[in-house]
Amino acid sequence: MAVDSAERAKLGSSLWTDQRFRGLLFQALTIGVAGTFLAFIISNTASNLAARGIASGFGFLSIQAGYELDNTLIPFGPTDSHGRAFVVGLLNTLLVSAVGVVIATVVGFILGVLRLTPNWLLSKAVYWYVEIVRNVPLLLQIYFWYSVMIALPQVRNAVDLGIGVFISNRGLQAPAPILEPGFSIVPLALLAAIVGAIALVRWARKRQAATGQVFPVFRVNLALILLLPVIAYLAAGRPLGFEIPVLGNFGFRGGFTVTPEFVALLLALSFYTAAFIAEIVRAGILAISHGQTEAALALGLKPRWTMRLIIIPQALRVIVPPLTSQYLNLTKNSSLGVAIGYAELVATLSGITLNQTGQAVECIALTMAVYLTISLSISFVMNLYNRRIALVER
Amino acid sequence: MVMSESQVPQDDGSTYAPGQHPDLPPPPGTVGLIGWLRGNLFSGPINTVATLVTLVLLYLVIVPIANWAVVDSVVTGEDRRVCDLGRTSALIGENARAFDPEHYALDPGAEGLTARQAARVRVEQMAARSLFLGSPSLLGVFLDRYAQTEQAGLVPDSLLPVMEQVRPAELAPQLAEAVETDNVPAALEIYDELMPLAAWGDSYDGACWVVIKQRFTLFMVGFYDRDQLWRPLVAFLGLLIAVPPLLFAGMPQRPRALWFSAAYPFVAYWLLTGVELAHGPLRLLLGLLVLLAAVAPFAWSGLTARSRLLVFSYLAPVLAVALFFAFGPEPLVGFEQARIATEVTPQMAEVNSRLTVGQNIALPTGPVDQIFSGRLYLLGLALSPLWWMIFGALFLWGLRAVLRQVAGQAGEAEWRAARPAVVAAALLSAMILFAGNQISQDTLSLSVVGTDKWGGLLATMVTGLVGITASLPIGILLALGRRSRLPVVRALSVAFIETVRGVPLITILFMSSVMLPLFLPEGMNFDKFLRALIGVALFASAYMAEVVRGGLQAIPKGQYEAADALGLTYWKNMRLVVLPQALKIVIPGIVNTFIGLFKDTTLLGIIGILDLLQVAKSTNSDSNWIGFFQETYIFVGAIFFVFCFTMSRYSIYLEKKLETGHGRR
Repeated sequence: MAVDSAERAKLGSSLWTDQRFRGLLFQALTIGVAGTFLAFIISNTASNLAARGIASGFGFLSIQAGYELDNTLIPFGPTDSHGRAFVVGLLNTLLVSAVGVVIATVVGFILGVLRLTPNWLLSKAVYWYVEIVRNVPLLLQIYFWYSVMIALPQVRNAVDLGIGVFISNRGLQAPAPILEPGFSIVPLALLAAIVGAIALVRWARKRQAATGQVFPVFRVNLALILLLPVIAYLAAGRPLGFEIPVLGNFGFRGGFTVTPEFVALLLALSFYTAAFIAEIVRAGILAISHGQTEAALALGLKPRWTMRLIIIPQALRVIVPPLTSQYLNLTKNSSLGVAIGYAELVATLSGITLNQTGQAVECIALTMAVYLTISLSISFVMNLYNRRIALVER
Repeated sequence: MVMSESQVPQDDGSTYAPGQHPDLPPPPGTVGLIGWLRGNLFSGPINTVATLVTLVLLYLVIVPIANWAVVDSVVTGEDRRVCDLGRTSALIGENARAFDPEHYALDPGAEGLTARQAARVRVEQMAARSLFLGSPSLLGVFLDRYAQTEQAGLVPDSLLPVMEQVRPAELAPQLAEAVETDNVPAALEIYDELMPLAAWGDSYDGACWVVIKQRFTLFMVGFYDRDQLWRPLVAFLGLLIAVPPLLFAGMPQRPRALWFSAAYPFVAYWLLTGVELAHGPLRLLLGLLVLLAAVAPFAWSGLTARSRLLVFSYLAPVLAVALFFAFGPEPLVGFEQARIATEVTPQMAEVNSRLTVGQNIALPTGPVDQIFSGRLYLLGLALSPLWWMIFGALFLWGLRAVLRQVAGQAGEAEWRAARPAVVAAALLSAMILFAGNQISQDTLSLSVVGTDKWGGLLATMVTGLVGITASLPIGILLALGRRSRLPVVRALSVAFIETVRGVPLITILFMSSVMLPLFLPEGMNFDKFLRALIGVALFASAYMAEVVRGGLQAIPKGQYEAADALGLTYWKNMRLVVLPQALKIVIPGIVNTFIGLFKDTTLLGIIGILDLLQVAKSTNSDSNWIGFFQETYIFVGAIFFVFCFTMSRYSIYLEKKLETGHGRR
């Protein structure tokens, strides 16, 4: 095609001035260059892999891994496969991201609101805190927190917080819950409470639309969700025991361990992201014109209702899109756990497994694919939410 | 606001016509410092409580930090010994103060105790006992360290009188004996005598900045050759000159300073790597560009004779110097080299056919040169008469201008036009004279410093600056591609941007360090540092593209249409109409991306480059400096904070300066 068009171009210059033709030619060139580049890379990779005697494919995932990991959510030993190590890493990534998102959101909203208080001192103190945390690299903060964790007292001098919780340089030891038969009624009760709460919200909204009467939904639902599982728990005869950690000669036995790597990564991720969320929240609230508050007060709404019904719903529209990208950033940044030896996805799959099997292309491609999937899923969910709260325009 | 009775000025009985009453002063307590305090800190009960609570919290946070970092810190000394002395003697004091004889004497087996109480008593007794038993050995450690410090002649002046007064060496055996015989009162007396020592330690147990002082060079440049440290220093000073003209439009002499800024990256590259930029094929390329530039002012149809002369008068000196670099400082021997090179060429042909391109593209010194040198010198052969012509013309012109100036015949305008030629002629003459002898050739050429030796702030700044410089244009192109009408271009841009934004930087860096060698032909390899640089720049450009796209979308369609209606081509439309407006809107986003990039350079450490953060980390795991992680991390954090915070301030400044909207002016 390129030859053909070149010939036609010789015949008459009018083709060069035709925008559509130039567009097609340029795209054909782009495809050609990109295709050649790809072919170059692929053929090189194939010959390089052949030269090194590495067979491609994902068969390595079922090979015995032969290494051990701390911080596992599911049991993992040296006899387990690389595939299982991958799952361990994935679960750890999801765990630290999920907990981090929750903490970062709560802390970030608090900081953002404190930034807006009329109190000059408080506002400035929060400002400098946020600026310092935002402008220092996350990896440095992770290292710092990790060093703090490692500098905690040794296991035999572990700090006893009472109620069976110990803090030492091996992490946090807490009593592990032991589920006894009959416990399944508690989560069932919680589920029932949530379903009931949703039904109650719908009913209350319908009633308010019909009669104008307001039902205290929040308080009733809170009580429902908190009390129902507790009642179920008591009614079933307290089917829950605790295994208290005991200090032995070689560290703690029993109980539930939160490793220092996890705590350091979680703290650094949450506080770093919270500083960004604080700025987003502040900007979101400031974006709502003061006229909205004045109008709401003029209508006779109480300040609390003004906040809940007028300011927050509008501010959320501004807040949610950048908040989404912060959640994505937090998830992606959890990959920095590799630097302190937290067994997350990059550390297991692109780290130890890659080094042991040499399957660089597969390992990194799989890691990237997983992160892409997580990113796109979070985007999708947040876009759904965003669409629900977005301004309905004509 | 309701005024209280006392604040209303007394009626003096006089009457005023309506509107003639003199202005009353504002009520006291609403203006000045007190008014400000009332309004901002104590405007209500909640606000007052918030102020007080914040004050207490700030006190609890700032005072210990200030004590640690400044008041009690150690800055003198060659190594950690003084810091250790301070910390040990402070520990002795802490031990003595925490020791409680009552706890020591507790009996867990006493009657009437519940099991829980007994356990608690046992813990308290154990703690007191370990303090008691540990004291002599702590004092022993202190004396050991003191002896070492004394031997090295490093004892701080402030410690000497304390040692005279306390004489801990004499107290040590007494304390050991008291502990051994369980003699608590005697031990307490000895503790009391040791207190001045502990007090000295308390003022020396803060931050140990000696660690930063001792490793400062490592923090700044990594393992850069120690006898070549002037090079990064000069490069840094040059940066201080090169950057301001880019940032501040109102700078005096800005157009001239911008020439320096444009040349800076090349000079800095040459200075830091020691590899001449105009090397091998690059030399050839530069030579051709120079030729093109020499012909351009005369081939360009739309210029007047005067502007041709002006362009040439500025261009020619630049040309001459560039040619000098392009064809070497020894144009006389150029012919000879060309002859040798052509003779070698047949042998090179074999190398050429195998296409074993060099091992190290970032530092192209090796085979690349050999392959191209035959052809290069053939071209050099053809071009060197031109070099002589331009240089001769310049020299004659400059000489004539000087002579006429001396004779008083030259007008002001003529002298001004010829001035660059005079400077260039002088410079070139000096260079040729200088380059003629062997000594100068040795001093002129810098030794090559491989990027594997770069580290610390140097590596961080090079990565950050290269990333910033590369990511903006690439990001703009990607953003334009994403909004292109051509589906293929758009699809490729979207695929690149979304993939890169969807994965963590660390995977991209892993890819560049593990997978890139697989992508390239056998035997061809990139410099590790360069690979990481490419990874960082590509990563940042994907984010930059999204920021720029936001700006592009915010430009009203009428602007595009108006530019089209004026007959502007696509690129002129973008360059002159759309991008200036779009980029202005997104300055905060662009600077935020720069800040993010600068912070992300720390990730280079994970793939084995010794950046600033890794120097801190390696210091903390160095057995000589273990236990000072706060100092190193705070030092590195402060450097990053200064850079990033300055950048964000600058973006606010720029935003205000470019504000042309309807905001308050």
